[in-house]
Amino acid sequence: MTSYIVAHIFEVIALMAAGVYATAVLDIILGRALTGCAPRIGESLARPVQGTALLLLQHGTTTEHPDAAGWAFAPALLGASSITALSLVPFASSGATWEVASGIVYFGAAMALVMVAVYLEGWSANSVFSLIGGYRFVAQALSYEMPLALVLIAAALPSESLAIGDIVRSQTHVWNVARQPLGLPLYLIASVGLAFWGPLGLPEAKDLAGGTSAELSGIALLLWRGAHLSVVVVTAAMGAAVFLGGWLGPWLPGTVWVVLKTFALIVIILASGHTLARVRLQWFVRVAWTILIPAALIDVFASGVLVLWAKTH
Amino acid sequence: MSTMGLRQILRMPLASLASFAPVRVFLLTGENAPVDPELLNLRDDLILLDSPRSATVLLIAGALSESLFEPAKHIHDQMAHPRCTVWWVNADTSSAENGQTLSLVPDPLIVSVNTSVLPASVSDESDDESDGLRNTETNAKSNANTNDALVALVSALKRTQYELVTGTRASELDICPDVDPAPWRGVGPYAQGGTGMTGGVPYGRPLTERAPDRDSLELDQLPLRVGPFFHSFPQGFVLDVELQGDIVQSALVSAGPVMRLPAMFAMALVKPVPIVVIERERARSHLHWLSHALRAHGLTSLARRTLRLSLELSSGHASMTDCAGELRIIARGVERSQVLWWSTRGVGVMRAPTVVTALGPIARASGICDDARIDEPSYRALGFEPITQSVATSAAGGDSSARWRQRIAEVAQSLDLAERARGARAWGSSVVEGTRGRTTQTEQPETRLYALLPDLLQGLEWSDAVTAIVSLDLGEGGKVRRVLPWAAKNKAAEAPGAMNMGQMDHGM
Repeated sequence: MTSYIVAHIFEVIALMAAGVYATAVLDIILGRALTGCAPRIGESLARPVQGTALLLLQHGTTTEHPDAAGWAFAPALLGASSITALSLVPFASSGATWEVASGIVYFGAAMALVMVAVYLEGWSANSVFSLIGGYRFVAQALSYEMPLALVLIAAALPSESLAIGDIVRSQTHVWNVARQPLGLPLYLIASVGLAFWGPLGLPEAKDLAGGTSAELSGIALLLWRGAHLSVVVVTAAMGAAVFLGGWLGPWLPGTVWVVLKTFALIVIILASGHTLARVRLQWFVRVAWTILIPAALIDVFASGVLVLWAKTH
Repeated sequence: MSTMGLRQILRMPLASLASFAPVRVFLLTGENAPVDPELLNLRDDLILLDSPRSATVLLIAGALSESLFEPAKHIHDQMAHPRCTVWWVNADTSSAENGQTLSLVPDPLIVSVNTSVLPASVSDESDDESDGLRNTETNAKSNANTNDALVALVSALKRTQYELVTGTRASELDICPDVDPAPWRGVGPYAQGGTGMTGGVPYGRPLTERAPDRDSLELDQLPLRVGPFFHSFPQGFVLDVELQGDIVQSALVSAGPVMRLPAMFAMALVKPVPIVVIERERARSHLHWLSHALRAHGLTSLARRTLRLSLELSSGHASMTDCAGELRIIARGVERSQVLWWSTRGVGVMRAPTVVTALGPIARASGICDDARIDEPSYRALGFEPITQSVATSAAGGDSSARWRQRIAEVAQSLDLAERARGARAWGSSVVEGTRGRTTQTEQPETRLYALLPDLLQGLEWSDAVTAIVSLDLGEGGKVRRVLPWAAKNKAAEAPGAMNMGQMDHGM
């Protein structure tokens, strides 16, 4: 039993590592393409490996009296939360690595820890810009978490189950992206916030000289970057399962469909980083509470009405 | 096995991989940089970092002034090992100016550039030219040399990183002494004694004080000095702020970069200069700012495109029509970025009477029609009309977004004027319309803005404060284009315009 669990843990970690690498490569290719430069696939494939080697050779630095334990724990917490969440995503009809009846609840719980990890990273460095980065993420998280939770609940309603496998199966005839048109756009906005990426990369913005990661170097920076990318991967993978029908699709094996759909969402999230300006936090908080949350509530109510209508007709 | 042991075993395979990685650079811009360091943002083979922590190379472009020397030492020591300092030097700069920079570390790697072959804003010979054509040709020829200078630098940086990771070059030691910057001042066996409720003074610092914030809550006050090497600000600009959360409670400019007049504007103060040269420089300067501002707001792809256009414009390679076409594409990209306007609208509002202190594009963005070109007959002959932004139609007029729109509109106007000016010349008077407003030999418009900043920034969130400062275009961060012999001769006259905010009365 133990070896079975260990094998599955390694399987998920390997999947996540592959996802993180591919995401890093995609980001480089997208960045070049959007600047009007040739993508240079070979160079783009090598860049993340070369950068990793450089950071592995770089020594760590420290600040004046940091909270060393918290600083070391934060990237581990961020990475572990993402890996836990990825283990819930079904990559084929046979199910996920970790099949639980309330998978969507576990996913929400794991992703709630992202806020703790980012704040801990910012606070532990004992540096003003890092700390402000942490503050910002808390304000950001309080704004995206409600819409994120609501659209996931709405997506679960047609399946009448909290198991992610069941949510995918409930999309056999119509994917959630079609029957809940508000769901995926709201989920993607919340995902960009959750992954603190591009326009919502406020905790690590340029005006904070890198914010939560401003004081990092060497292996610590490498781990943080890896954990950061893992959040992008897992939000895209869950979005593919919950809104794009997961493994469902013609001709190709189910796993291939999951991977393709996941990367389609990853490209959207990454492209936001190259095409959209940094959002003003005050504005995002206002929009989240006045537009995103009401829209997410409408999504829940409309989905509920549709489910009831389907049951009675 | 320890991390150190594992690192030793894997060192060679890792080093061979790492040697091809983009060079991680932290840039310090001094005076007389051989080539505009911003152009390094166009290179894919290096990464300009916002924080020095993970940089392998400390690149010093030009000579560091005395006031930048101590902060540079601290920046150096914050970098992780292995690390190295590379000094990108202008071969024309005097050894006296270079001496102090060279003494920053025992053995810096020096990359010297002969700037006599690099593009100048206006060549020395253009004094006697009937139009700007010869100057354009000179710049076109020397654009290749600018690229050569950049390629040579990047090659040196890559070699340095390779030597560092393979261990053939030793990592530089700390410069500052390894002492506790604020030792504990408590008394007793556990340093628990002393005065006040918490005993001693921890680490020699007073405890963070609390004060009511804008919501009448009691919040910690965080004193913070930002600069002089903060990349969103011009290099040399130092801002002392007091934050509660990320709200600026107070701000004080404690140092500003030394500004020098671009060569063609210095010359225009003495004798008439071709309008084509003046307007091309104005467009280049605004585009340079736009590229910096876009990067500060996270639009890096558009920023690179803008920087490329700025380079094309200064090199004289592209026609004004081509530049105008490319500008339209960039302007459309900026205009469509709704998120950008949400981030800049209503931020850093400057209106009369405050804005009267400011001049040039900032005043015009606030609806004040102030432009020295109106008084110049050759500009009037071209049908010049100043562009201003309307403040009446928008509650947020005179804000950062208005300043963005103003400068983009002025680039298009300058390209149009440059195209139609042909051989026309302007000025030779004591006041010219520089890129940032009315300019004289003794006063440059940027310097007036520092006194406005404390009131402008108070109450803003830190990100908005940075947005407001970026929108003001306080300078190109120590970048000094080649100084003409005329300007060198008049160095004494320049001195009063050189800012030393440490001696300035902030009126607070």
